[in-house]
Amino acid sequence: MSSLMGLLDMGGSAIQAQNAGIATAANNSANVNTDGYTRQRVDLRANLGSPVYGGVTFGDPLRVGDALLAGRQRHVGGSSGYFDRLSSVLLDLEGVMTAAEGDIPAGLGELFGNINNVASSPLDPQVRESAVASAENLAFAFRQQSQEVARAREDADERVRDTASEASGLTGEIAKLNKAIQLQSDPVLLDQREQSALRLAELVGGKARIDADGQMRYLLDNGSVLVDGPRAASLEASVDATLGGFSRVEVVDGPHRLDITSQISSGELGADLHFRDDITSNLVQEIDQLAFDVATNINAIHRAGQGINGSTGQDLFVEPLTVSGAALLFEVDPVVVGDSSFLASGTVGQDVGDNGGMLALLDSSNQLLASGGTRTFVEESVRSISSVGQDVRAAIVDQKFHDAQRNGIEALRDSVSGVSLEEELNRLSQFQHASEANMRFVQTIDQILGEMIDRL
Amino acid sequence: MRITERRMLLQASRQVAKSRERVASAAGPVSSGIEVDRPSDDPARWAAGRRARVRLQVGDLREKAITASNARLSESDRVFSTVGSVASRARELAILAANDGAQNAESRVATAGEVTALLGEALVAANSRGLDGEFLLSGTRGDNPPFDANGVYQGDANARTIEAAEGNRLVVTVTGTLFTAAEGVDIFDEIVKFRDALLADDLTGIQNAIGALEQGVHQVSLGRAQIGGLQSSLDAAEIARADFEMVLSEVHQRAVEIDPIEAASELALSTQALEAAQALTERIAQVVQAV
Repeated sequence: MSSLMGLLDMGGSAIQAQNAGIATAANNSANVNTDGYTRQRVDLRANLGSPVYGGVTFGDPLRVGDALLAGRQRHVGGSSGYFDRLSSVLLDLEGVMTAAEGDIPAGLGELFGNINNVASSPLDPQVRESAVASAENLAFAFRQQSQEVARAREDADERVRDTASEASGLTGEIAKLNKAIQLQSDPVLLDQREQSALRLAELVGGKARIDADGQMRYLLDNGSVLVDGPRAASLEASVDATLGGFSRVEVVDGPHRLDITSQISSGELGADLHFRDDITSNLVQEIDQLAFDVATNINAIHRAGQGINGSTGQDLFVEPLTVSGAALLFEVDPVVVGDSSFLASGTVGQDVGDNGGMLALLDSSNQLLASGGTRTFVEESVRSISSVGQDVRAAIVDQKFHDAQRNGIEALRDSVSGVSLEEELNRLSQFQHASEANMRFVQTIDQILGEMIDRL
Repeated sequence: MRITERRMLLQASRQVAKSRERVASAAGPVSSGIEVDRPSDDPARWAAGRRARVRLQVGDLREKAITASNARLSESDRVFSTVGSVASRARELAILAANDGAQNAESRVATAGEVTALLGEALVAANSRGLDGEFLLSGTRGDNPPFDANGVYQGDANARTIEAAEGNRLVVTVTGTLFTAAEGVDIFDEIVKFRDALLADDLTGIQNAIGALEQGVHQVSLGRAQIGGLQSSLDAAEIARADFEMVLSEVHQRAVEIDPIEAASELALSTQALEAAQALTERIAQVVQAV
């Protein structure tokens, strides 16, 4: 009698176990399209059968994940985030630098072409006005180019602040999930933590590890700890005068603050900092240097010449005092703008129809006066823009490489942790049949028990 | 490797997206004719194209300078033609006036009147301005008339040069010195002296004027030949400039424009790839739906 009751218990627990299998397969199927979901499997354990019977029990559903792949995914996430962002912002920068109708190379070409026209007709007021207008166009091109690059830097700075804020939110979330996982190791919580860590990697790079206590520790590439179990540091962006008013990024952990601005080289934040502090900063310097070289060299020649009104020592452009800011402040001297007879077309001491001044200016177009005496003005202005194109190209190549890597790892992760509807339907069918068989088994035992009771 | 239905669909849709991107990037050059539109398309080719465009731009403006200089030389030639005609007519009058049998003091005074008018005509021509308002023959003193009322030269001997081609400068003006003793005889002074000889009924002076005016006519011819030479140089420079413009246009084309056959082939191939990817995606969707 007691063994029949035991068989009933065994049948009941078997039905429960198979139903748990059905529930797990159904849950997997329900989450087939959930991003970051890791498939689960029911943890069935055979009971010891000796000497009379065994049976089955089930534990909490198991998450079919691979910590190594998750780590690889985060690592590639940091690189992908970096190159995705870098290629995107560089493409934007290239667009604004080449979209303008009158860029610097065109401005230089127009100026030198019109200087030759003044050389041909130095006394023609219309020709002189055209030359002054082309000098103004060149000045506008310098200012516009400089402003566009400055705007791109400001946009990058804004993104740095936004990314720091989003990253801080994620570190807090990971710490909160660590705390929850300490209490209850629910697979969904683990998935959420993995998703948050992956997004954090895309934002700031770094590494995460899961320790034996099941807690995640997240470190930046420079070793700064962002998450340590239930404790989270934050990333704060604050205006720094030494960075020209741009934001510095600090890891803030209680009273401790660590400036990591120059140490982040991965993730979207790394890309924005590289774009802001290296690429556009260098570009601004290059444009400033070219503006400085053009203005000072042309001014030196212009000062040595003579206007048709007899003026000498007159600058064509407002003389820049420093290289820094030369492009942004590039302007034609208001005296020349106001009266084109100040345009030094002649040689000092010669009569008004002399064109020696213009010929000397024309010579400067072929002289290596830019970039430390290594290039002409036009060559340097073209090189400066095409170097952005080179950066874009390199970033796109890297982005494609890391994208392929990311896809590969995603495919690997999916092959381990992804939900296959076909598999789940098969399992559902298996568990359903097993559940039905166990029900039949319980019914049979129940009948035997019923008959035995009837005979009593 | 275990492949889930979601992964199959995802990879198929990524392939479609990639193929669509390839079609778009192949269609752009076919429709615009430009293969290198942005520096990142090919930095070296873009830079070569951009440099060629700047040189084309400078060349376009150089054409204006050449045209303006050529126009000035044409104007100068008209001046020389007028002065040459005047000198030639004066020489004729000198030959007539030197005929003592046919001429007397009264007729010579009348001839002097004609010579005065001729001198005035020549001086008006010699003091002509170009289209830009500058006196044609003053050298670098273009804001002042080259000759005073007596035909004395006020300008200088400085001719003007411009850049007619990259690194190639040409003289593009002539000065009034061609009418002065610096080049042989002072034509206007000889006309004045001839007139004075007529008024004074100075037969020797009149006879001397014949030779001097003959020399003047020759001098003007030489001046016109010089102008013709300069114009020829400018014409040659303009032809060379136009040829160079074509070369630069080709450089620019080679740098940024497409090879139409290659572009059309790429478009056809990418379209085929897109169609194949779409068909595959549809098939995968059917398989997944069947599950």
